[in-house]
Amino acid sequence: MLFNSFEFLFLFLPLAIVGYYFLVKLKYWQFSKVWLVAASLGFYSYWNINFLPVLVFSLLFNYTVSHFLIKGRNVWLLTFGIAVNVGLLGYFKYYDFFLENLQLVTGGTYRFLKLALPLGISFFTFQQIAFLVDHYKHKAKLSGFIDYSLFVCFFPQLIAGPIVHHGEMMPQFEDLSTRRWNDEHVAKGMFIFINGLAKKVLVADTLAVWASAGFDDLVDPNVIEAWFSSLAYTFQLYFDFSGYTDMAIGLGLIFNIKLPFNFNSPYKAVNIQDFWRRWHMTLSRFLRDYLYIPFGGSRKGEGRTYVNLFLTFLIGGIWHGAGWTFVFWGVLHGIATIIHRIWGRFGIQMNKGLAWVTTFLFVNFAWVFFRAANWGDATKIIKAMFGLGNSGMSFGLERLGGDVLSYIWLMGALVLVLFLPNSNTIQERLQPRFGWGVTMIALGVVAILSMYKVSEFIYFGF
Amino acid sequence: MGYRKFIWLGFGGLTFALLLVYVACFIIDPFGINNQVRVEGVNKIKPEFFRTARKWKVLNAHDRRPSTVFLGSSRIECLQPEQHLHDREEAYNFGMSGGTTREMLELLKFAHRSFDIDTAYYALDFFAVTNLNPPTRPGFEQEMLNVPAKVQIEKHKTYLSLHCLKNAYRCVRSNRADPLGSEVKYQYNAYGSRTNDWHERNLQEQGSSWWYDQFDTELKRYEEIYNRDTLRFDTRAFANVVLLQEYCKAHDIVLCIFISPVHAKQLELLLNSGLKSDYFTFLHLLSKTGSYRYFGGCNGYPADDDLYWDSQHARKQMFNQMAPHLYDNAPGVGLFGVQVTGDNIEQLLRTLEAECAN
Repeated sequence: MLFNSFEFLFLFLPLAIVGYYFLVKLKYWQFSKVWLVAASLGFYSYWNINFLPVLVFSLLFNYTVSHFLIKGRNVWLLTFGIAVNVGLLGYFKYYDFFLENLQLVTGGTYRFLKLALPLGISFFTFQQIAFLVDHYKHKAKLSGFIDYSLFVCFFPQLIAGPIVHHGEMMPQFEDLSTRRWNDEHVAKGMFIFINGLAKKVLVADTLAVWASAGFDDLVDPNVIEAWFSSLAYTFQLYFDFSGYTDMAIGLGLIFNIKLPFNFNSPYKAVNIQDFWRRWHMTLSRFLRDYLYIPFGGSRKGEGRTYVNLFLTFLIGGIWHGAGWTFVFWGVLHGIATIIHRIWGRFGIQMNKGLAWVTTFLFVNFAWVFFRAANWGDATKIIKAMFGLGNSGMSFGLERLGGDVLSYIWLMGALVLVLFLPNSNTIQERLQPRFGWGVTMIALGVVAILSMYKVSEFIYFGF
Repeated sequence: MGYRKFIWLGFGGLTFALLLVYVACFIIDPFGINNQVRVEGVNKIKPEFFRTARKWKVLNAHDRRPSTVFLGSSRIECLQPEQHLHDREEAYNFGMSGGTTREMLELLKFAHRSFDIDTAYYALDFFAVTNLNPPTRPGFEQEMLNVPAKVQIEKHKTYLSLHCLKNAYRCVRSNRADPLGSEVKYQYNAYGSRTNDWHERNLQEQGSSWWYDQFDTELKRYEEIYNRDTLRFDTRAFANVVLLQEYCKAHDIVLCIFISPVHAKQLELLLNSGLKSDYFTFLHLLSKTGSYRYFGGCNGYPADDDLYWDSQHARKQMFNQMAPHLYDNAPGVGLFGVQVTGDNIEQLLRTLEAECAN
């Protein structure tokens, strides 16, 4: 089920809220959690019920392994647990990619599985691997199965994050004080949710048309079309993913559960490290805590630090998708982070404006590989961006289905990401005043009236 | 203002605003989904309504639950084939401007899944199996057809959208500007067929000379289009017809394919565009996959202003002549309504060859 669908807004969500607070009112604490778990599983199944067994298996398996890990620090059991999780992810996400490459190398013929990717598998797998590792290190305590299920399945974050950490979720589920209607949280939750909906429906979906035309349809883009498509995608991705995250955080607040922030104005970043502190922050946290630091982090000398950084970003790239374009995107970010670190050692300060432009252009360049369906599409856009494609030089965007207004949209998106307060700030500043209320209603009405087409979130595919 | 009041203001305001839009769109009904309410000066005429036919017809048919469907392009939507059925309530006309073979296949499947149809008429024409068409056209929503249970949600979406609100505004504006409805080009009746033939009105007002000018202009335009584009018979488009035949066979749906009226001028158009051999290939292949009725050679330009309203489309009067062949299995007269099979296809092609030579 999509957050930006009528079924969700007018049926599922009201039912989930009313049912939950009704049970809370009756002080059926356990049942209220069961209700949320059931609603979350229903939410998951609505898309495709065939994926439900995968989620349930993953839940039961990890809970059982955690249960046995209590009895002793058994490294083999932990390894087995992680291997099964990675194996499950590998089977659904990477098996065909592996075969495809094996076929290329050996020239043999293999039967592809052509499996549909269970929604959110990358997210709930990472969440549970983190739990197993922390449990092994006695940093996490095993709660009841219902709490554990809610930690993994809580519907606002189930499909595309934020990747929650048990340390920030379990205490909230156990704390009775969170199980009450909280006016401030509900009000803020409503606003943040609507803000996210507007980001997705009004901005991301509008930009998506031009980005798709450039990447998927045009065979020979010229330099203007290539730059326009890549920039349109850069903003589309941000508004799409941060819109989803806002909706998730808003929904969490409505249920009086605080989900972690996932974005902090990433396109304001002035270097690549800064970017990764602001973009998909919960994934960065996971990669840092469960890959980079276990690899040795920066504790084993400068050379090893570079290798660790590179490996972390490489795995981050692969996590996003089974394709060489994702691998290359990870490699690019790994190299950029290493260069940034070396630059830092020399202590040379770059002008802030120049630093911003450099970072933004690099991020935009790398997104081309992230977006392109294949290597050919990526090189098509990159070549054209450097003037090596179609030599025609026209500012008209007819071939992308755009016009002068499209430039205004793009500039508007840039202004939004650079100068308007982000959702985290809005959440802090929001006061129950008339102006905020009118803004919320106006945004909500326009966004809901624009939900005419089915439009999935980009990160549902990862 | 406290947070509690803020929540109520926000929730109440949002609900009220959305409800207002919904009610306005429901009453004005710019897409004609809610056919019953028609108020003079408000929503009696629905300008540009035909542009949304792909969605509207699915929603409308879903409400009517017919047992017989008519498939095809704009060539069938103005024929009003339901007029000649005993129980026209049972029929629905899915004919739509530029209707592609893929769209018709998907609509047939939808109709079978949703309301278990038992009969389908497919008014196939040559242009539907050429590379002139994309697989589907804008406004065609596969997602909606895949899950018939979601059609009601889609219907509500239609009322609750900026798209609908904008059209509702246009609708009211044009109704106010011209309550007699002279702006409207045409609209659909409850069975999905085109009504309000504006050619008829112009014919009455301006006489036949107007019609001949229209005919020539239209014909030149089409010749230009067909000559400019490299138009060829498209096997992928034809494959959808074969799939449609197989689907009907597998689900016990009686299928009657017919080549909608091909008058002499249209055949000339095909010749001028160098499409004769492609056209013959199409007729030949179709006879191998199943039988069909061929309605051709019945008349020539410019003797038939009563039957045709432009160079391409037959009027409902034409269907009076077609109905006995389609519904009562009357034998063909010359080339009009002849039943074509693998046995007599060569004979048909020879006759057409001779007609072309003349």
